[in-house]
Amino acid sequence: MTIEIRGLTKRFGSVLAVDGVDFEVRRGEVYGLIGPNGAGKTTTMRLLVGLLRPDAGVARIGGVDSTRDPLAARAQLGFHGGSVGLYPRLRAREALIYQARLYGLDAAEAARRAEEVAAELGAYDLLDRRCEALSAGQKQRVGLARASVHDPPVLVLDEPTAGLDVLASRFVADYVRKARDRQRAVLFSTHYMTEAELLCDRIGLLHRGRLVAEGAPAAVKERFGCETLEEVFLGLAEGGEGGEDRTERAL
Amino acid sequence: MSPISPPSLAAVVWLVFKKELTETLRDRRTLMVMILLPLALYPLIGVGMAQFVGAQRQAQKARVAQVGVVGPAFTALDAAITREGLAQLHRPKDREHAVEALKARRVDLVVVVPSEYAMMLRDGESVEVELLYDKTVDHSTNTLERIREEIRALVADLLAARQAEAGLPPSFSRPIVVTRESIASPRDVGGFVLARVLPFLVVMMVLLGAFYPAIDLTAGEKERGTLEALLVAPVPRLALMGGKFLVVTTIATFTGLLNLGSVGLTVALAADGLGGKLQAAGGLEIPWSALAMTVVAILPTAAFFSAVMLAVASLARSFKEAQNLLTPVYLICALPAALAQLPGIELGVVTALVPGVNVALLTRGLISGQLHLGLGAVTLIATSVYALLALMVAARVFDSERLLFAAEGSKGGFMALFRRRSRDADADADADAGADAGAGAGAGAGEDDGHEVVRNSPRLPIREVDPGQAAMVLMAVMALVVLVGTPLQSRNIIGGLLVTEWVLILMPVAVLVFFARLPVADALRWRRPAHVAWAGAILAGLVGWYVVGTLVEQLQERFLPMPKEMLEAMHRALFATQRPLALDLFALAISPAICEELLFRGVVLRSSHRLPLWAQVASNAVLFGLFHLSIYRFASTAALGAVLTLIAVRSGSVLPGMLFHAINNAIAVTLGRVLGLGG
Repeated sequence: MTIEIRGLTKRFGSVLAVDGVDFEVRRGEVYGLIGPNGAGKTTTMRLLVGLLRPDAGVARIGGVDSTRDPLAARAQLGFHGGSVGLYPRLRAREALIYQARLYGLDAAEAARRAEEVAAELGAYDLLDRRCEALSAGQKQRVGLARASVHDPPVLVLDEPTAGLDVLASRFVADYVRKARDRQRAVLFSTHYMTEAELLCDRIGLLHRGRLVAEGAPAAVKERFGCETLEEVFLGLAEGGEGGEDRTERAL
Repeated sequence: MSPISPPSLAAVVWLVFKKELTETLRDRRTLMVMILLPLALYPLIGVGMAQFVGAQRQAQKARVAQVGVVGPAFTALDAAITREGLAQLHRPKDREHAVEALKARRVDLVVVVPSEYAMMLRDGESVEVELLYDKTVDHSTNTLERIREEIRALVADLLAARQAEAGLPPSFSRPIVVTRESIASPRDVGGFVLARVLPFLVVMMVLLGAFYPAIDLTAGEKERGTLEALLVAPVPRLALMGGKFLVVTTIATFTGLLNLGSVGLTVALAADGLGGKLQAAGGLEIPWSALAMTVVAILPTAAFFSAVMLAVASLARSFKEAQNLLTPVYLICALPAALAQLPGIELGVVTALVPGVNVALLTRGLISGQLHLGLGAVTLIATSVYALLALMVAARVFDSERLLFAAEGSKGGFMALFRRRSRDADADADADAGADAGAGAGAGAGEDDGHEVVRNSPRLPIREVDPGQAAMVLMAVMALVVLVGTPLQSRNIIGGLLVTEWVLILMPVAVLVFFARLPVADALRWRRPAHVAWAGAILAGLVGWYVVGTLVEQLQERFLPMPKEMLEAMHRALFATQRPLALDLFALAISPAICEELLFRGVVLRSSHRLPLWAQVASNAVLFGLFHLSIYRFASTAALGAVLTLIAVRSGSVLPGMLFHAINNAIAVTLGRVLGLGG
């Protein structure tokens, strides 16, 4: 198991943002965290990568507790998100090399990897442009390249397709598939249902900080008695008692 | 999968340094401040000044002075006045006409010669020559000075003639001849002047250089959303902060160096332009070696202030918030530099340990060439420790989750870090509401990914005094008091004080409250306190003057006694018995109690209410002490300020403090009269 989350809990003031969440992601698996805004997806991921400290529970990456030994846990990690920015005044190449070297690659290896991942993501031509001059889609490609420039065994992607057009989204999907084919463990969050259905081996449905359903997309749909994940999602997003009832039934 | 071994600490620092420097040097704003400003500023100022002075001098020379002479023709005097054609003679009918001409500015100076001057000269008497001029007219004063010089020369000639006639030697009229010589070489004098001016300049320039990079590398990184990716990298925070610190220090050092170079160049050119007149006239020479020593002093100065600015900027979530935070810090940091300019303050065992002051004094010591090596070492070690402490704070705060994702969390606000469990539930509620409002306004980058926005019951946002506003008001008050209040008080102590309190102090406060549309009750703590607070204030007021009067002033007397003349003058002004007591009590007790409390325990304290209690008390006490503009009264007024701050915080109201302040001052005024201190 490459990502292991047990009883993870995070409280902001009086609100439980993440409430006893358990799941794991294996090598060669794409796991989708799905849920409406405010469900706790981003907080879960931030707890996993060690940007936030959990109030209870553990998150392990490659068996390493990300709270106890954050540096060793992070070393195995590639992280990117829709909200993660690039250094505007650096060229794409410089940003990639900087990241690679922070992870311990030497100068020559970092330069080589920067070109390699950029080529894979169709961002080769962008390498010598300043990040501030890139479009949203181009930024996302460079961001993904940055997350994998050090070739980490674990990828954590927080809404990488948020705000992207269809074409750009497809690049992200291709990237995730390739990573799976190379036996990486990918944790992925989105609220685009179609994307989740197509891409994920398993999904976890988060609602109000709790994991309310988990399994292969088809199995989850069946359990909620819905035709599509979209319906499941809508049921949850509409919230209120209806959502709760369905959750109760499904469980 | 490549085997990943995290890089060494030094490697990370170096890596971050290179990357941040690259990025910083691509920032136009930083480049402007660092390079263009110093390169353009001083030469422009220098050239402008030189031209202005030159033009003035030219105008003076070109003008022929008009001198009216009343009385009989005194040939030798007339010749002296009109020497080199610098003046033109007029002969008004009498003194009256001459004064009229002077008033109408037809003449610059009137010379009145007594009618029987020739006889008096012959009899060896003194001839009284009267010079009439208009002090408000520059030409008149200048002409007076020049003509006096000419007359002095004439007197010397006449004296020599008299002595020769009497058969006396030339030394007869000069029983003592004084010659003087300063053992300081022109170079020493130059060093002395530079040692006064340069430390201040260096600190200001270093601060200016550090300002934008410090913000850009911390709050800027948060605002652009790049911090998450950086913090997820497997490197220690202190190493990241170390790299950033080196960049800010480098930029600050270069800004300092370029400014210094530019100043040096301008001075050199100006000195050259004056054709060496500077050396001849003032006996001043620029010691280039001293300038070189300043270069050495820049580095520790830059390191210290860079670390401080980084630590403070790390507290902010956005560029704008960081600017608001750093502006008052900038002013506070300038203070030690200004302090180091004061005569009599030297690098000693104590001052070598005072952060900020010590580096400014070190600079001064290096320039004047009078640095004690041991103290220099102490300064460097102390500064390194302070800088490291600041960096550790910066590294800790930098990834504090409350600051990182504060925009999304329920209890936001950069001061969330300092939130204390307050006994004052009222104030706490305000703080929360303010923080929520701040989170909404300052979120910026955090806005679009606010998945986890969880809020308590929504409260109406309360507009509060921010530190920048308070600093502005305080500076305005200080400037008004220095420029207007002090001169007024020296003319009429009571009238001046009344104007100072009710206009110069209260007006800026009123302007702030009005234009920032602050709710008066909150911004100034204008609310009813508990009854017990009144009682406490009265009690403290009755005792406070005694504590201040005995303990603090005893200590003051011991370590920094006020010069006797100054003390007596103050007593004479404050405790004069010819004024009605009621007027004095109103001007010296009630007015300061109301106006100063509204400013210090209202606006200023309100802007710092999220700091821990000790910091509120300390900052308010220091500012209140400085406000009184006297190093001799600093300790006692600061102590008073500390007590008043405690009262205001504890009671949650400005009113008990006013009562305390009024009682304290009233007792002092009455006592001063009773004891007859007014003389």
